[in-house]
Amino acid sequence: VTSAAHESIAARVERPPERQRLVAALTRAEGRRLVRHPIFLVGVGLSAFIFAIDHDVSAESARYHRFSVSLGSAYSNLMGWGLVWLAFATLLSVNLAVLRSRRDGTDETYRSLPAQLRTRTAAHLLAVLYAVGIGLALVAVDFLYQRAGNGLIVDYSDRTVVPSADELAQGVLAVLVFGIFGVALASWLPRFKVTLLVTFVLFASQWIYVSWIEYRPLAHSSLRWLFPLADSATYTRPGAVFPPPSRAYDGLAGFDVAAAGWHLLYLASLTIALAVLALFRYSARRRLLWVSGLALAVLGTAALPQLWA
Amino acid sequence: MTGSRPRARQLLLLVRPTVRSADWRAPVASGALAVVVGALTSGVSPTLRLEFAAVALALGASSALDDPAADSLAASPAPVALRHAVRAGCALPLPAAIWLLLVLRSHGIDRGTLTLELAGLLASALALGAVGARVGARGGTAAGPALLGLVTAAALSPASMSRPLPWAMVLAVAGAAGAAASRDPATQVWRQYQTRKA
Repeated sequence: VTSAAHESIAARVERPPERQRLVAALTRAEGRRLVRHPIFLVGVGLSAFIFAIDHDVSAESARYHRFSVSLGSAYSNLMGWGLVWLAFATLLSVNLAVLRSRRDGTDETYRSLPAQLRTRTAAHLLAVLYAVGIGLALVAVDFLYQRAGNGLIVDYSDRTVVPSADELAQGVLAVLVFGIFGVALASWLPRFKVTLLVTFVLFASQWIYVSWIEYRPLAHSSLRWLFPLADSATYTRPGAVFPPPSRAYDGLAGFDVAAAGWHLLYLASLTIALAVLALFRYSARRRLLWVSGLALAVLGTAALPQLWA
Repeated sequence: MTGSRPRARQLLLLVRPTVRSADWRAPVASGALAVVVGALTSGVSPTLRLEFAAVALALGASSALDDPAADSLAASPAPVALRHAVRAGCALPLPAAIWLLLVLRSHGIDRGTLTLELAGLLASALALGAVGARVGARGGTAAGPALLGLVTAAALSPASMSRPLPWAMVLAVAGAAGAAASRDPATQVWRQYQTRKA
């Protein structure tokens, strides 16, 4: 009788409406846990701190400082760099959330429940939207705080530019990509040590190749768009940097908004591909294969125009 | 078994099984990462390259104190501090050897300060692992992100971290915290605190 009852529960929760309700309930629970996680809170705090300290400064008041009040930093933060800490914190805290059952030794217990692993993975994937909401709120508040609607000063000739919607969305989508990546990583390589090393590699490569002032070999190359966070600045000369820490690095030509738009499509398809990869771990269904194939095709197609836009 | 000679013998007896049972995947992977980061970033300043290598090596050591058999061993005559010392002693030669290799191949760097930086990061990783193990089940889970947080704080710090003094302070604080977290839970001070808390 007991096994028959269990089978009927399992069969019932596999029906789409029941499964959706279950996923929604688990998403709410996981989302609440995510936003209260200490690592996530540190990430939110650091991002908020970076947004708060970088003001829109003119050429006269610009000065380089370790707390980066250089000219153009406010624009750069809104372009996504302000959310870099939130993105990394989301990756780590979501990954820890997925690995919770493994860490606590409750995998066996969960297997005896009617909800399948696929359902829980879907809930973890959707819980990342809580982090995305916080990222969106941070960008919106900073946009108003900096009065970016009137334009932000971006170079030493005091030129002002209003950040485009495509640029504003980049950081928020990067948070989503990092969070989904955290789930996919936990699904396929369920070791937190692996996640830590991968996070370090991501951070180091992003820092060295794209954002470190003294080196960044890809900052002027269109290959920078292959990284989740890339700035849309274009330059008039090789030695120029955005944001410029001093006049010596000035030389901004403008912002490649078209490529930033293509980059959003690239990030969106990367998100879908990683989400499907995470779900595919526990459910090798043909429909998933089709979706992943389609996402990878879009990913490949979207990656090309951003390189030549 | 509280004398120095039996303790030394105990220490020697513990080394072999600790080396054999330790999970070497993370330290080896982080060592490889430190070498690869150096090789792939030839255009970067040697100082920054070595700083990244130091972080990678410290990340590998962050789970060195994790002992799956800690609960079973809690009742054994070997105290926590001794077991931690043995595990730390077994984990440190690998990053030290890789560091030596990287430092000797780099020119125009302040070797002393950078080595002090590595020592500070390694000590922090181990201390955070010890604190994490004291507070929860797995120290490495807490130590890794906390170490990354420490590195972030150092990068964002208004004070220059390229001088030896801050890293010497980090080393001293981490050493003290590690030693305090490795005290046996049954020691008098800890028991008094627990009694007072209860």
